[in-house]
Amino acid sequence: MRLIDRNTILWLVVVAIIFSLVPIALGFNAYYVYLAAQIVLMAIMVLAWNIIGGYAGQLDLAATAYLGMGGAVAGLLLTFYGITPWVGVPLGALAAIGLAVLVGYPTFRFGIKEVWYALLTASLVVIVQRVFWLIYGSTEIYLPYYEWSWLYLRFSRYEPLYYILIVILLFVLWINIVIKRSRLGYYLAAIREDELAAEALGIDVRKYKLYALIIYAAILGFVGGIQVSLTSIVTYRMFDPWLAIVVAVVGLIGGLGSVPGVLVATVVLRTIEEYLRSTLGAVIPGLYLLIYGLLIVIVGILKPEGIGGFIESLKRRLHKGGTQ
Amino acid sequence: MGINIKKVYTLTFGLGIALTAVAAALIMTFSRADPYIGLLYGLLSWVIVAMGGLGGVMGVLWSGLIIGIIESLGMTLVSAGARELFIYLTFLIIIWLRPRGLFGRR
Repeated sequence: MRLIDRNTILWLVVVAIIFSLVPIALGFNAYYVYLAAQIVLMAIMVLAWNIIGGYAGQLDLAATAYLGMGGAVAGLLLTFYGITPWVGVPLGALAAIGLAVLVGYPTFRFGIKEVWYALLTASLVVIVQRVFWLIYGSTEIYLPYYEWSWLYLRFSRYEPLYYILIVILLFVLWINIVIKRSRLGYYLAAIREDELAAEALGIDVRKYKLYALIIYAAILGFVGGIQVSLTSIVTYRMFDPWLAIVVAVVGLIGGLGSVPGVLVATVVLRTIEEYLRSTLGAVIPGLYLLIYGLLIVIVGILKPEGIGGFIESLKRRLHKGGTQ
Repeated sequence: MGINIKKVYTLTFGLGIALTAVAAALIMTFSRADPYIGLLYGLLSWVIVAMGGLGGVMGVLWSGLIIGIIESLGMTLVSAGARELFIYLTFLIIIWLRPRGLFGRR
């Protein structure tokens, strides 16, 4: 397995350039850069979900449990003990991995699949949220203020965090590509297509599903710490069951296991959502959600295989045109 | 076998929605209504059905009863804010012990 090749580098460089130019195109407007950062954050979450949901085919609805876990650890360490996020964020990722193993090991050991897996992970978000609520209450905990500190990752502008998020996005894209081509990726694809057949072929299904879950949780835990720096607050609302479902829905719309499809779906859907909210939100509240929901239903009906399938068919058509 | 799949799916879907609407109308007699009320009951009803085991009536009845009792006990004995904690923790543990639900076939 090659970790990197020319095509991948080209792909990543193009994505990096496009995303780096966004703040310039937005004229460094603080609000728009913040929204752009939120979109990149969502893209990272959906790409992380792609590993467990797209490659391994497990409908996981616990994205925000791991995200919030990482955010809570990094944020609380900074607020109460003054520990820099450079230490706190990796610790948050470790905490998320701990949670993933704690829940994932028995879940895969007892062979929980399909609907039951989806519901179990959805309940996990609520459980972690309530535990956090019982300990820290419903008040928001504010991170300490620094004018411009790289040590504590606190800035008076959003651009530094936006570029940090882009670096993470590129890393997650690369991980997605590497896993797809690796032995682990083929095992996961076999598990997704037919778990019984995969087990009969001698694949340790439990182990590889747990690996996928750990990678997914680690990415989310890590990015959770950055999210806390971005929003400046630690609150029980970070463990949002609704957002976890949205992550899975966007991943499904992007097309199971298709990296470009997932990336395009997230960026397009999130941008449309924010655009509709800012234009229609003040006129008729709630209308943007109606249009957004209808859009998702239409994509689901017209392209059940997601945007990834659309990109594939477009590519095939372009190739045909080239050879003829 | 001559079963019109489309018709049966549409009929069951419609029937389910109609029954939900009737239940929701009854809830309105003692509870509040807002556009986000679906989030509160969506996951909960799904969890109760899955806990009882799909495709059975007795299972749903029992799991609904268990969830209701645990919810009320937890609220009065521990903390009202921990209501969901008890519901979903019960679900988690029961699903770990019986992966197909209480009355589900193995």
